[in-house]
Amino acid sequence: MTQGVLATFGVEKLAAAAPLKRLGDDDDLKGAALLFASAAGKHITGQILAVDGGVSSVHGG
Amino acid sequence: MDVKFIAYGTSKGAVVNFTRTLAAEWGGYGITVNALAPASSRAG
Repeated sequence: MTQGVLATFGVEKLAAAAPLKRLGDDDDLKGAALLFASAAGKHITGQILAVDGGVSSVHGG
Repeated sequence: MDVKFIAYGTSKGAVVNFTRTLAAEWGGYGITVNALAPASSRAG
């Protein structure tokens, strides 16, 4: 489905609309995943963490 | 438009509620449940 979104709207346009001016990739998710999976996040539960370069902050998620 | 946002919105809402409800139900077992929301990202 992401391929369809990227093809329809264009990678460059989507990246330009993001506060951090690029699309994320799998590497960008590792830090947040480690936080959830490790003892550093042992008291975090039930949370939805946007790791999206700020897209949901300006476009409502 | 070929992009099915009804499917996206419906399933994303499901994941959000799945995460919160499972966190509530499994917290007592010491299990945390969270979700990452990566927007449109390239995976691979």
